[in-house]
This record gives sequence, structure tokens and C-alpha cells, in this order.
Amino acid sequence: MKHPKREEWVPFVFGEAEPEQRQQLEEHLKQCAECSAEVSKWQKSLRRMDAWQVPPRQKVRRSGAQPLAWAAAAVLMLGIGLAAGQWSMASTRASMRMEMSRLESQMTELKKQTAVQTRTAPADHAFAETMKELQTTLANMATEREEDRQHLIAMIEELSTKHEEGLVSLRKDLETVASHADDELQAARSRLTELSSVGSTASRLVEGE
Amino acid sequence: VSLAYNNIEDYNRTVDEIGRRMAKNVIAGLVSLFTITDEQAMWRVQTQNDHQAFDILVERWQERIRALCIRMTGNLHTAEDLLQETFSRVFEKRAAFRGDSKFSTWLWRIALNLCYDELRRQQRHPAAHEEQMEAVLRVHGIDSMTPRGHVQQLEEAELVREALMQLAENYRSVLVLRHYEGLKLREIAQVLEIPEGTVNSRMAEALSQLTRILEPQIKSGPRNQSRSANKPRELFAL
Repeated sequence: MKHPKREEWVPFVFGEAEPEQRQQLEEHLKQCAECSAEVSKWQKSLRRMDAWQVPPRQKVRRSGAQPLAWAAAAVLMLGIGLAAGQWSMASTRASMRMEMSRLESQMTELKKQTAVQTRTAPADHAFAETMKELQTTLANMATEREEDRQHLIAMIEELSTKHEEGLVSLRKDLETVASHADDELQAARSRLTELSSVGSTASRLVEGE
Repeated sequence: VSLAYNNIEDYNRTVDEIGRRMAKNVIAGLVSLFTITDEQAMWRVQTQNDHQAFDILVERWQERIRALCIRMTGNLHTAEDLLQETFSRVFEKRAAFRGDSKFSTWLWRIALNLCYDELRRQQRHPAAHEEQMEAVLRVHGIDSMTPRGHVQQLEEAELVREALMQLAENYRSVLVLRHYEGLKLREIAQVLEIPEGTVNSRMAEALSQLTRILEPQIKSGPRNQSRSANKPRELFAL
């Protein structure tokens, strides 16, 4: 088996290998116990390196009201710093510290300002407004839908009532027509009877002559 | 309607998340409006001898340069001196900085060269170096109040420190810059002014040597071999 060169594993171990190269090396690792062991040893050494942490720069520690004293010192130094005006070129440690504390307080102030600005920023406000409107619209939509349904039911009921009424009136009309027809039939029959009696009387008169 | 409400709550959460991200971006944007880049600050130092701009650079970089010097020399006091010297050198050589490269690359190079000089000086005068080694334990911040568990961790830290100090400085520097300072291999090549391939081969050698140095200690335990010789190897496997 052809093993990759030792230095080819370096970008792989540090997660900087190109995707294609990484894939090839991963494939090789699956098949090659030798390379796999070597690479995992490297990784183990790197993890062990994390044990060595650099301590932060030592600060002077005093008991009791340390933060207060610190704040007072900072204010004092700030005052002196402002009064001193222009910065001296020598950049002694003390003056550097003063400038640093001034910059730090400025940064804190700036951060506060930006935080406040952001809190009242139009973005958040707009989101809140949009959400409120959305909820109102939804509630309105639900109410409107309910109203529509009621309207529809009323209309259907009305229509069915009208339909029934129509049917009733139609029946009445039909009955009227039928009764009228019946009456006319009766009249015609009586007229026919009348005519036949008139006819028979006439024939009897003719026979009598 | 209740179904719609569930969706609304999900939507609300998403909107909140987007809002938070937007707010973060806005803050970052605002801050970047008020901050200058390293290169801009260095340009001011070069052209106007702007001490305020110089102080900004010192504040931004002093912790990382200090850490580099501690890891390269293994000594806290020496590192403090080297830190001061690095920034003095930056101001002194301000005219030599070319705007076509990153300030950080130039700064790492100056600090690293000063570390190399110091290490060579220590090799020439080992006695003076021995005196300074008293400060070594303080590299890990050990004092009488340190809890026992922490002490064990610090012993491991000391093992690592000693192992790194055994490496040749050109191997140590690539490891320190990549692992502790998080520079990309390409950036290390720029700092050291060598091809990236050379960085890779140096790194491979550095890792192999470091592994060889640390390995027996995994088997036998830190410092006291007789104390830990009977313990199974797994106890020390990290």
C-alpha cells in the first residue's frame, strides 16, 4: 500500500485540507492501521498541548473594597489623564495604562450607547408591530369568516323558505285552476244537458206538427 | 384558529431569533464604524507618529504577543521583557512596515525574531538562564493556595511545556503559531517567509518529535515513575 507523505497529513490534522484531498486521506485512514495510529497519536499530542494555558497578567490584589478602590483609582487616573491633555511620546507604562483605562471606559460607554440604540432600534419595534398586526388580522379574519358563515346559513334558510312558499302558492294556483276547470266543466255539462233538452223538445214539436 | 396560533408561536420564535441576529450584526457594524483596522492604525503611526493609534495596537495585540513569547521561551519574566521589546521595535521600525501585507504578519515576525534572539542568547549564557528559570512555575500560576486537582493539571501543563522546550525553535514556532495562536498554515508561511510546503514538513517533524517526547510519559505517568508504574496505561491515556 502506498502511504501518503508525512507532511500531507498536516493540513488534514489541522482541518485545512482541501475537500478532495481530505476525502482521499480519510479513505486511506479507513484501510491503513499504520497511518491511522500515527495520525491519532498526533491528535492526542495536540489535545495534550491544551493543558498548558498561559496565566493572565498579574494584577495587584488588595483586600476589602477592591472594586471601589479600583473605580476611584480609575476616576483619578482618568481625571489626571484628561488634565494632562496631550500624550507624551515616551509611552511609559503608567501613561499607557491611563490611556488604556480611558479607552476601556469609552468603549464601555460606546457599547452602552449602541446597546440602547439597538434596543430602541426600528427593527425590534417593527417586529413587535408586525406581530401585533398579524395577530389582529388573524382574529379579524376568524370573526369575518364566522360572520360569512352565518350570512350564508341565513341566505340558505331564506331561500329554502322562499322555495317552500313558492311551492305552496303553486299548489294553490294549481288547485284554483283545477277548481275553475271543474266549475267550467260543470257549466259545460249543464249547458250540454240544457241543449239536449232543448233539442229533444224541438224534435217533439216537429214530430207533433 | 388554535392551529394557526401554534404556527404563530413558531413564527414568533423564528422572528425573535432573526431579530437577535440582526441586532448583533447592527452592533458589530456600529462598533466597526468606530474602530479602525490594524493597518489603518499602523498607517497613522507611520505618517503622523500617532501615539493613540499605537496604543490601540498595543492593547489589541499585547496578550497574544505575550502568550507567544511565553510559549517560545517558557518563561514569564522573559516574555514580559520580550513583549515590551516587540512594541518598542514596532515603533522604531514603523517606517519599514509595508501596507501591502497584514500588520499582524509583520508583528508576529518581529516578536518571533526577538524570541529567537533571546533563545540564542540563553544558549550562549546558560548561567543567567538558570537564574531566570525560577519564574518557570509561575508560568502556570502555581502557589500555595492551588487545589490538588488543579496541581495535577498543572503537572501535565509542565510536562507539555518541557516537551515543547525540547523541540528545536523552528519546530516549536510552527506548533505554537498553529495550535495556540490559531494561525493558518498559509499565514505561518507568510510570517516565517518560507513556502507552505516547508511549514508542513516542519510541522510533521514537530508533531512526531512532540509525540515521541510525550509518549513515554503517558505510559509511566508524570514526574514520579515509581509512584505511577503500577497504574494501568488507560488511566493516563488522554
